[in-house]
Amino acid sequence: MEHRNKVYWAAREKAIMFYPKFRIYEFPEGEETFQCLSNLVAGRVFYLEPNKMLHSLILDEDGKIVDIVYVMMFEDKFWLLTSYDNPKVKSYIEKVMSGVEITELTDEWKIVGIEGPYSWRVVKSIISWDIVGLPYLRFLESQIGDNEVVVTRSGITGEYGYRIFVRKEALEQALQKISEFEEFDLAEVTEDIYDEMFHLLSAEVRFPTYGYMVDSGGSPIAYELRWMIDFRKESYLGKEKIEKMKFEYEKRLVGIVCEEKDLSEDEVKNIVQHGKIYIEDLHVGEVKKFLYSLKLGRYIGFGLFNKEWGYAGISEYYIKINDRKINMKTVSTPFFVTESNNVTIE
Amino acid sequence: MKKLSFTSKEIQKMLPHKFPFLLLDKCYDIEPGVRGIGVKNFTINEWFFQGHFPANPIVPGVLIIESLAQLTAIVYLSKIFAQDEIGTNQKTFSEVDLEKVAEKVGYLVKVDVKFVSPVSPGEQILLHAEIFKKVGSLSYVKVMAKVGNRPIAEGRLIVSERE
Amino acid sequence: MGIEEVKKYIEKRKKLLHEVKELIIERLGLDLIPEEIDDDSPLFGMGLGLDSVDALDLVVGVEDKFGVQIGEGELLAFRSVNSLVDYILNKEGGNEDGTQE
Repeated sequence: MEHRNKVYWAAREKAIMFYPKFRIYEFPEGEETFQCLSNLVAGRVFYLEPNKMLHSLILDEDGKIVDIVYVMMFEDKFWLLTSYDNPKVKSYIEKVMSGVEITELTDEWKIVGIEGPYSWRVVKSIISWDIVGLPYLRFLESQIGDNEVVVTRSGITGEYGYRIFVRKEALEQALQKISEFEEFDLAEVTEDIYDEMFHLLSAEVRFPTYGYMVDSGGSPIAYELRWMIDFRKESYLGKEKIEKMKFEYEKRLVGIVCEEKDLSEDEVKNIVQHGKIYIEDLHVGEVKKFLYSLKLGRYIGFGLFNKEWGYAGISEYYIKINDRKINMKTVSTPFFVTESNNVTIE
Repeated sequence: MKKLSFTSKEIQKMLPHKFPFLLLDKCYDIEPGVRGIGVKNFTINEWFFQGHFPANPIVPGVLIIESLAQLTAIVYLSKIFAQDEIGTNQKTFSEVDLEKVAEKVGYLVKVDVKFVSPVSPGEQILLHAEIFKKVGSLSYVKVMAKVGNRPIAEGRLIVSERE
Repeated sequence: MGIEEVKKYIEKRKKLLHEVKELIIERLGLDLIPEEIDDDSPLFGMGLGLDSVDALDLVVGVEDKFGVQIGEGELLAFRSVNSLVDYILNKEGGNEDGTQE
């Protein structure tokens, strides 16, 4: 408990370190790759330029989410980063990218993640001043000692975040360099608390993390991920269904804050598993997420509401478990303003 | 606050712009940092009429925008001459380092202007600029140009301070 | 508030959400329709990806259209369409998180 709290507060006030996992697929540069990527990924692939990243979706034929991905454009190649544990996405990649050479680099690289309001101080000390001017969703290629690294500015917690890609053999050296950072304690997110921690950190800011905030087969409309889609693109996987879903959808996922602080462990478990949301006697939605936010000091989560009821700003809804009525309200997200908003990278 | 006016000579000291791109002849009713009026005369002898267009000289819309932007710069920069808080006399030209003033001129970052009527040689446009809102280093400016009572252009500019 | 009042509130909020999206599209010349803009996603940085110039243009547009005066310290209201609507509703007399009294 204490370790978990320490890591959480480091994430929200200073910086944390961890080992995120992606599958990395490399494609050669060129028009063919561009076209195929544009068909595979729903977002604005054509806006990419060297050293820029795209955060987007791969959808299936029904317009439902297969995975949340990043596309990175280098001078001479592309990288596609997908979720590590997603058995379905590979078949989509193989089908749509069949016209170009696909190389999976997953096992050649190790990734170190550093996030937090002061994460940039850590990265600056091991890379160089160049990262000060690095905008969000851009990356640079640099060195640690003799070893090439790729540093992306991307995060999932609503704080400043970076991912350092280093060749497998060079991980030791990179970690050595990181361990020399002394300005403050860099807390490591260990395996035992990893999923729980990132579940909480991304939920607090409604960051779309596949596997935590967003499930396979989910609707980009309900999840509020329209921004990841380039609606004007002529073709992309799932376009036909998305064009309908824009207007015809049934559910809305809305942030909720629980007014009650004294909930037993059993009650919380019950809510997570079967929490139903009501207004008076009318059933209006289901609890999809329910977690305790340390910063807010309250239980927060998300409700999947029937579309006529799924709107922020309502305090008449309650969660029903057994015979108890638990008061809650629907809210806009993020649930609070993260500390990084008050910190300037310099 | 007394309203200010500037002659061509004074404008040339305040703005870094020079021929062939100084598009403001004089200005008046300047409320420093807030709003002001400017004047630009167009004569057949302008460098751009030769090409725009040989058979039908009209003032290019973009140059009207430029005039409005230059007026905006004067309105913004004239803050340096404004009365300070304890109400002492306004500074005169000779007391202020004018080069420093010209250095502060910033950039146009967004333009949304509609052109209603063309301007011909021999006409004088009256330019209006009002710095409507400032957030950080960006200013939102409402602009308008007329020839007599005839509307020429209307819209908004967003300008940025120089870093 | 009973169910009927909540229904009325939802109608009001839906209308405002739509109007704010229309304002964003028109003011910033975006090639989108309101159904293509999220309620709850960021407008700046990630999400819609607007920048500070868009922000100023939008501030003036919101002030004009909804009759509010936005102070320099209140710009966080613009983080999403939802938060903008919360802000507008709040100015009309309600709570900071948009819930009505």
